[in-house]
Amino acid sequence: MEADVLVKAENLQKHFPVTEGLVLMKTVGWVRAVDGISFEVRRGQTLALVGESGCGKTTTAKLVLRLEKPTGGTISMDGQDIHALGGHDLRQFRMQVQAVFQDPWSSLSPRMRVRDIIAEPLVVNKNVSAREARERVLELLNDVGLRPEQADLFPHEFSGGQRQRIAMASALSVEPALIVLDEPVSALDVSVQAQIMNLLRDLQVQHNVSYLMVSHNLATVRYLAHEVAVMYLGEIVERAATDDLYEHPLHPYTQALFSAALPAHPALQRDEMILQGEVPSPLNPPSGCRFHPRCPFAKDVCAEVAPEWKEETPGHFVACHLY
Amino acid sequence: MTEMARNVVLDVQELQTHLFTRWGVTRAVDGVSFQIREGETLGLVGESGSGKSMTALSLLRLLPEAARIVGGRILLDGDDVVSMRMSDVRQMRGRKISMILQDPQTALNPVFTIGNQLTESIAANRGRGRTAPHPAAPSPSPSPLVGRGDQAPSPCPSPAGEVPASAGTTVRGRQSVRERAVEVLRMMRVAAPERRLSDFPHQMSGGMKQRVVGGIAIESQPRLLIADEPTTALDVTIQAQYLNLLKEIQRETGVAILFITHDLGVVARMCDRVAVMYAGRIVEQGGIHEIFDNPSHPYTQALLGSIPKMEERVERLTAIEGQPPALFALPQGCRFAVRCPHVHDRCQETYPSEFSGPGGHTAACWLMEEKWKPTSS
Repeated sequence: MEADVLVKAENLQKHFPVTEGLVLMKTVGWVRAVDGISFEVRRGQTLALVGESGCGKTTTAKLVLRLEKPTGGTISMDGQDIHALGGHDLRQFRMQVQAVFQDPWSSLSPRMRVRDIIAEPLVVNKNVSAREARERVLELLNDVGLRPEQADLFPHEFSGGQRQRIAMASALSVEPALIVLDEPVSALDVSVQAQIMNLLRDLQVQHNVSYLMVSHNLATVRYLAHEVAVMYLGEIVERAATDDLYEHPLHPYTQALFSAALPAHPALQRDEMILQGEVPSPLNPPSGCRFHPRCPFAKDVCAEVAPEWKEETPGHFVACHLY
Repeated sequence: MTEMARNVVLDVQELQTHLFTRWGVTRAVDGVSFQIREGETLGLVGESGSGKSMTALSLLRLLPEAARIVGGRILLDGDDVVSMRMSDVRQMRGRKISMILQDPQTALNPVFTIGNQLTESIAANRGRGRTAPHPAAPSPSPSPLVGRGDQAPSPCPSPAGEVPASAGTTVRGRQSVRERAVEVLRMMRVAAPERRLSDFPHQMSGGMKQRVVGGIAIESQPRLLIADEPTTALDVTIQAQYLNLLKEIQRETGVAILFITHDLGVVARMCDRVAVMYAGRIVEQGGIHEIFDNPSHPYTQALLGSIPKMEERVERLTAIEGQPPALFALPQGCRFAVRCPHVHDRCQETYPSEFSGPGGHTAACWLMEEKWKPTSS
């Protein structure tokens, strides 16, 4: 089991200081964006982080991409702490991890030809000849379902779905082990979303790449992810294999999230569990279990003691006093 | 308007709105017809560029400069909006038709308090004569008040030389306007509404802001509420709260809702009937169960097959290949033909007529010719 783990995060923390004053910048508090989370991404599989805005899922993705430095805990890839890397290892790491973002209108340079966009990670990170790069671009275009003659076009000549294909081709050019997908389809039209989701699945198998996906769309996650971690206010409250989680959600927040999700058919009536109030500020999170002020099953203990991680059934972890 | 219980509020007939651009005429809305009755929610579903937002803007005559309604009628309680004088259109906006926009962030003015913006629209709704044509504002800004009075929420007298109300009525008016604002916020289930009135938009969460926008929209007890993707900017649990709230308000007031969305989940949750738009035309229309259980147009079928479900594991999604056609170069025949799995010669040549099935279910597709009867126009 341990062997196929690619990325491992342990007790990961990212606290942002809140400062006061322009010159002295006195720290008056901390936003606990990510507060002690642990997860694993397996080789060739997809881990999805789901949760509402402000739950820390994007910060987590940034920590994995090394765009933010953690204030506590570690992330390791192939056993190496990625935030302790330097020199050659760091360059190696940069090839191992790529990202595809939500909005393909802003993530591709408008002044570069598709051929150059796709080849850029390759040229920057690897010593390749122009000819090799050209061949690789054509290969990748084919993989993502674009035609070779489209290599000389500019991004504005493509639709949203095609742009997301270009972004995938570019990410795959260096044969990474992990691609971070930040809401990869939510900016696309409904009929195009399915195309891209199918493509993401096919490419994963073809290139044996792992995905760390950040999304708030539960239906998309069910289709793409092997494992799902549900985040609330900087913490992971539940983690399990996708089917297990969707069929037996344990944590009250997960249950509420699922019941609030829109049905795929009008005849599907859910036991509605509509949460009252809104997500509290991560600047001053509630004591004990962070979900207790909104939880319909809250007991006295929930306000005082933070619940421990429990493996309720094999591979299904939950942090809740009900279990 | 024969039925007692459910009068037709809005009757759109063969609406055509075209955009006149440098590159030619874009047929954004090209012969769209639908009706909405009291207390009913019609979902207008389509992808970006299908013309659903242009349809909504046509109803309010809030079109961009390049766009013109070139044909058809929009009957609101029997009055034709298309031929209405502009001064009457202003009377109608916000009073008879209100709109909730997608992004509450941009719908509210950041430099005025919530109370200020609520009371302004309440006052504008009350003083009927105060919404005289404003020469300085030919193109109203996209505000949730939809051009209500076309004035910035400013306490100063307007440059148009409006006569301020006499002091006595102002004091009494202000009082009750404020009370009404509190009442509206309470109706939108905003906690501690009295205190919220002095908040600025940035002090509120997205869900709360959208409630304020909704409150402004329903304050005048409009006949029709246009909701243009009101929950896409909200989180899942907040979205559920908001949709439930809209339903409750509809039950209380009987307002008809035109719900514009690309999300079939929202439709499944909210709507009584659905109209599916593709490239400027409605391709299928019917009751929500009809559409979900018995989709008859290949586009609707494909759309339903292409959405992932969270209720079950789907082995593979059936994606619709290709892209919607460009609106300035529409094919002569069916606009979905190039992407349709059931396409035949006739589809390329003539745009399909509309056929009617059971329960007011209609579809514009030649495949239905043998099963259904042609819709009598």
